[in-house]
Amino acid sequence: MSERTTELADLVGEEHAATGRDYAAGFVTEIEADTLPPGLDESIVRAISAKKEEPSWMTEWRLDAFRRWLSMPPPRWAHVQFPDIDFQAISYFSAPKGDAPKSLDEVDPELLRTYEKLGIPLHERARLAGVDTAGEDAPQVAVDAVFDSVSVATTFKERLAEAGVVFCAMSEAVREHPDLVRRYLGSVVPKPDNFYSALNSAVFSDGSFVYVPKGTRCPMELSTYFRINAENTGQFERTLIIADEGAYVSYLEGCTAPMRDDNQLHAAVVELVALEDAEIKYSTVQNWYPGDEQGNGGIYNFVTKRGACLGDRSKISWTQVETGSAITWKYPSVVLRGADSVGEFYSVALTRNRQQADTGTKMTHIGPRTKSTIVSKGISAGNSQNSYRGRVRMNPGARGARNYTQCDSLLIGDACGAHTFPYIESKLPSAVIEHEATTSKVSDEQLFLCQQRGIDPEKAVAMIVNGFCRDVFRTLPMEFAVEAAKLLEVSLEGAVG
Amino acid sequence: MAGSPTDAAGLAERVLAQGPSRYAPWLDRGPHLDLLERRALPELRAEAWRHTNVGRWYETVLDRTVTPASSYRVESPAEVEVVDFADARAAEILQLRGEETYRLSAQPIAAINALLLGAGVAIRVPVGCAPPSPVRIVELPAAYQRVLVIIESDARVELIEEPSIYTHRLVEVVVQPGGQLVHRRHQAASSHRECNLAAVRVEAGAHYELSQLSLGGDLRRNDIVATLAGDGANVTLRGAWRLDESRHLDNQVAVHHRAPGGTSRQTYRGVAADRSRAVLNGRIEIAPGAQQSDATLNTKNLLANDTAEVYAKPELEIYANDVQCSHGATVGAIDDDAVHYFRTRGIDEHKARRLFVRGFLREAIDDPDTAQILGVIQ
Repeated sequence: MSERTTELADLVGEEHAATGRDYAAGFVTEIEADTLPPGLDESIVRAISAKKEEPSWMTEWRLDAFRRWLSMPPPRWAHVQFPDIDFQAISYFSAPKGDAPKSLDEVDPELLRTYEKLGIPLHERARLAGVDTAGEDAPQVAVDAVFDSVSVATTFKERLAEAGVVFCAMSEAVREHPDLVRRYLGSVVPKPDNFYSALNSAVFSDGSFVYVPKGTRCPMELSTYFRINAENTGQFERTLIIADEGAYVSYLEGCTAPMRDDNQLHAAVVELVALEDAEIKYSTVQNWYPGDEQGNGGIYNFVTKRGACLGDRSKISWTQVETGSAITWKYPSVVLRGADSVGEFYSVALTRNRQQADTGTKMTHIGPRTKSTIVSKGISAGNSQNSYRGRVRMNPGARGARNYTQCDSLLIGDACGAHTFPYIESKLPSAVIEHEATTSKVSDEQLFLCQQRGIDPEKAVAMIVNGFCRDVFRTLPMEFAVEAAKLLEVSLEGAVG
Repeated sequence: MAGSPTDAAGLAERVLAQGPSRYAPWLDRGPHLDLLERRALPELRAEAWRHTNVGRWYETVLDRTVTPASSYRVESPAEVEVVDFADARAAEILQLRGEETYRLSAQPIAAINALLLGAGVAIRVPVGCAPPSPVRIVELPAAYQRVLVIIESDARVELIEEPSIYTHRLVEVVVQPGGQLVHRRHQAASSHRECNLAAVRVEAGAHYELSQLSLGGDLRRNDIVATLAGDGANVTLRGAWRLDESRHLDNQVAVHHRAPGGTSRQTYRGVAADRSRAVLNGRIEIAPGAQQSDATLNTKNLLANDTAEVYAKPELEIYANDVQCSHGATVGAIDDDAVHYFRTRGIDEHKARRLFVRGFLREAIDDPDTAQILGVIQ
């Protein structure tokens, strides 16, 4: 075990000052960390399991995943290019030092300041109707804050417990709710589903666990904020959300990382389970460090997200706003098993500089009269490559199923690329699939019209892009929608000209 | 046939052991031998062969029981030069082609065509020539066939590929500036396993139009690669198919816009019934600098029953910003409302469905008489 503090902080801090407007979340928190040495073998898997004080079934589960991972090849079909990753050079666990805090008051103030700086208040200050407390508008959202490999704080736990909702760190759930975890973990994304899900299953460190009991409408929005801080570490969080019969939950996810010249790996797995009449709404604003203009550094975001509509009339809705990461490889999907179940995917993906994104969704229709909607908006600027990749499959049995897909791409500048790779697979006549895609640039006429009215070109493009993304933004919870629009505007700065 | 190779490596070994064909000895088969020596034929689960079992085609590659036609039958107007590939003159016509119209690495099974080639025809339409009747390729007497078509500047002609039997056919087309080719391809129902590649280069201000009418085969794979290589080139591709029994049709189309101001239009309509499988993978690629490109692809599919399968994958790959590109794809069943509408007007259900399908396919057919004779529409 090595202990160290982040000595690069000052260096990165200076760099940050120079390009700060691009990526405001690029600072490093100086905090003592407990980090496992780089490398991956069975002893590391055991060490992670031991650190989490996991029962033996969990350790075995991880080891099984690790053994399967060893024989799996990394996927190469995505439209992205990057050098091979040296999985032995990564550290698989890093946690802020010290005992796990029992309550919010015990959380390291440095951590609290970090989240404060990121605009994620971890205090449980309730918002008074119409009154802003100290100018700080703190919406009532329960937050699980994950810092490197561990969950550092979860807010509003008591209030949620009153409603019967379980919202806690994954490691806590393994200990406190083993039955639920054993039943559902890996049930939607099996260990050997793909290379990165197998890796995640072996080494996942933390993440959020949510269980909403029968007939319960979760009383507030739940949210997890992921922060990578330590150097040379990978983040492998695991999230499992279960909405029991008739339950409803809306879950938000945000993520940032410091600016560094090396690439860092983030390989998460998110599993959603919706039982009869349940509804899960999962929103992501992904703003991992995207690398600099030359494409140095940035996060490799290789994530497996999948939801299972197990029960009849259940619904899972994914909304994502992707502006960060050097490389994104991510396909939030829905398996529509229950009759009349509904899957939705709304996505805005913005790439600039040398970013590469290959993202989309998979809708697998199994049950009768299942419905899915896909709306994807890709914006490419600079030298970036932005791909939509989606699969809609109608299995025998999905009688009367329907899918509608709309993917639009917008190109800003002549050195970027926008690509669309939809896979449409149908095995039964009563299912209807419709797919439409368009690619165009920001229209000169629209720009002219804005400029004529005294709006400078940069603002005009931001406005046009905002309008282009409106179908997606309107599906986000209000605060997130405002945040997402702002993020897009900031990300577009300097992209026009 | 005993021990038919079904995997890429096994087949490469057998083809190499047999040695290249002695037909058209002037043909440079170096790259093709090299590809087989590198064992670079597609593996059974290659992405480009996701919905067609390439191993089933490999089985037939060296199968001598495939009996193609016994003679050459190519009909052409007097103004058009038509030469057997065995003739050294064909080498000169190939010179006119310039660089290859496709990349061998992207079309690896074309290597087998070159190595086993048994019949070929080179067709040259001289500058400004516009013959009144079409060039008709009725039969070529070998399982591996090659057709080379050079449309010189400002020439225009119609080329018809009649239904015939082969294991692999390679059609290379170059339409020089200002030229026009209307290419009609008629594919009858077949119990054979066949692949073909049509590779087309369209130069400045030239037009290329493909109308393909297909019924399926035991295995039928159409690879189409069209490159808009000069300013203002124009490509129109139409495909209509009707599959029944357990027939198979896999269309892999790639349209590359390499020069500014090109226009491409693709329209496909297909009906799959019984236990058939229809595949359309249509890629539009806009290269850097190919500004003001305008490209669309539209494919609609009807599934007639529960056991048929449709796979569609329209792709856009775009590296230039001032472009207009779109694609649309639908898969569904015959619209019951439409059938009801027919019936309210006294047309019985059977006829209503037939008319509906006819109207549906008609959107991708510009020659309904031939389509009817062939049986694509009824």
